[in-house]
Amino acid sequence: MISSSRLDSSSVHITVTGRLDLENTQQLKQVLLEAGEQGASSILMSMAELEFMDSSGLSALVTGLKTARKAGGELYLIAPSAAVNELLELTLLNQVIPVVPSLEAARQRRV
Amino acid sequence: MKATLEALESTVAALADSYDQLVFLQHAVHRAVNATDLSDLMSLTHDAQVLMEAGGSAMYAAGHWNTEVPGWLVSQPTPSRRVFELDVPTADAPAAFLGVPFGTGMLEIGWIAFWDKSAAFTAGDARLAENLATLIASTLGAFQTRQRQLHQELEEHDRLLATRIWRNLVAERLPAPAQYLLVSRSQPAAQVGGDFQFALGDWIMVGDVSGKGIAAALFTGMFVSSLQLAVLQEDVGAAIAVAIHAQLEAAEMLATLAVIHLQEDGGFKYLNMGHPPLLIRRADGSTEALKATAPPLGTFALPRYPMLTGQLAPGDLLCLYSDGISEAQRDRADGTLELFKVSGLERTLNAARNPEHGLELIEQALQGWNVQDDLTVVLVQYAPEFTPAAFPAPSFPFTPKEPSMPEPAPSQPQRLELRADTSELSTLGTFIKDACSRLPRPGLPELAVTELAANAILHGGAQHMSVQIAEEEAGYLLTFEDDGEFFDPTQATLLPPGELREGGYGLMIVQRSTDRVQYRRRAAWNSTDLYYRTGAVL
Repeated sequence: MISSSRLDSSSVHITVTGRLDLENTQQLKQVLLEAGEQGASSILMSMAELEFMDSSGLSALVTGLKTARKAGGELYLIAPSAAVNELLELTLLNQVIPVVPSLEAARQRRV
Repeated sequence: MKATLEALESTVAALADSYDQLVFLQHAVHRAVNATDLSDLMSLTHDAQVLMEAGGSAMYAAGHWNTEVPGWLVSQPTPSRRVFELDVPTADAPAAFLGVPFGTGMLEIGWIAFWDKSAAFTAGDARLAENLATLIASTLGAFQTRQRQLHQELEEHDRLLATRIWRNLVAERLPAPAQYLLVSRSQPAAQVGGDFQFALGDWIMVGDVSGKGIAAALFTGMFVSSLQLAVLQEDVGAAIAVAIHAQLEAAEMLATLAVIHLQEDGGFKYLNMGHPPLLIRRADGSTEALKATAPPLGTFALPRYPMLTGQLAPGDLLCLYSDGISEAQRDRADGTLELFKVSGLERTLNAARNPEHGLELIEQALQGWNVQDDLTVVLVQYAPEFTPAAFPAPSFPFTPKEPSMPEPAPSQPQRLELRADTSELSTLGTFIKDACSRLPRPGLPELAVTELAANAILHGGAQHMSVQIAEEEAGYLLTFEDDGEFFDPTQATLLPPGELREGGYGLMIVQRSTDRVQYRRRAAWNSTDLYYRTGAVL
């Protein structure tokens, strides 16, 4: 399941749970696109309860991260689940996409 | 009588003019031959102007006037033949004007103009100008030829210099660490690339700097000198990155590097910075690939570069190489291009008895293939208390051997058949995860099969798919099948990990998450075997 809430004028908090694969990646891309169009440059992604993610999910995250950086912001992964961590390590994207332990830590990092 | 005299005087004057022009042209040819730049040709034009008793002259070449010219001349187009009047009339036009074009090539094209003569320009003046124009065009052509030659000479000089620098830095033969046999080969491409091999004590390194020529040779030098210091540091990768990364980034170049530290008991630790996988041909004939553990230098630097460890048994053969081998190419019968690939090297090494024999087999295998880049191969065999007969080849004389899979265990395999549709991915995933619960990382098979399935659905137009899982004593054998277009995931070109890009991760995940991948086409089905060991944490 994918849900999002606006934190302030430049930040959006997106929570992804369950499963993220080709079946629902487009939905996440749409949420990220809308966040960018509404001026959000800080994307805080909660993925602690994401049980599975494949390369299409990674693709959505990379798109979101690039969009955020172009707007002068950043995309943070908050406490990603073991499955997400495993995928990030496998692709070495854990070295590129910032990971933080909590929403609070992400909020502090962006100021 | 008076009229006759006047006519005679005019003829004599014309003859004298002709003689002056002839002498001028004779000198002009000599001067043109020795001309070194446009100013010499402008000087010739000016002397022709003086001979014609004109008040001004100019030359238009290489797209612009070569001196300051009056405004009315700037607006004139290049004439297509000799002209005595301006093509674009202007209020301040001179009373007398002569324009003559020259050249037919793109760069030699231009024209010369003369103006301000007390009388009209004569046909003799025009002939002189036309002869001069021909001479100018030829000389400009000669300038270009000379420049091209100079450029080629400089390139050749640079190429030889780069080769000399590179050869001084990169040893042709590397020393063998204690308890190991080693052979190596390094062969530069016509345009020296940036391959290098280097050994220091028990350390062996093979790398590849992007680019060619002197720049690549100089970076090779920086590598060789920094590696000598880096191996003394606790984090070798970080030390190299500190020394090289910023320079590579500034030069918009990148470099891959494979570093291995061999121990006398067969243990080793390694670091692979975006380099093609190091191959280990085990004594039992199986092959393992040590894939990239970090991104290439010059892309982005990491704070730490942990080295991974492994163990060689007596007879195991380790191969470090550059992409000159895996990217060797040849034309297929149908005109498409075929690459030697890492799998070609794996097959070749399968029959190698020892490093020497392995190198011989590689050289034989590459016959008929076009190696366009530098070529570097280092073969190392763990040989404690070496005796030449100690290590027979796994199967020799050479018989091509398919990668071996463990024999199926007596337990009944589990099988699931599904429509090839994204809505079925969840069912597929749950089935795999439940069936592979004994694995230390049970999520990996699910991930790899999901990537294969997504690929078949998105790109192969598959309608049906199935997965069969056989539990072995030492692991799981998963066979994924789809009825999509032919696609061999083991032959796909993999992009490097750790790059911020939207695509190209699926097949890399398949390759990096499994202990072994094997593909075959079974009638209209793509059939891919994935093997996962229960005892291994990748």
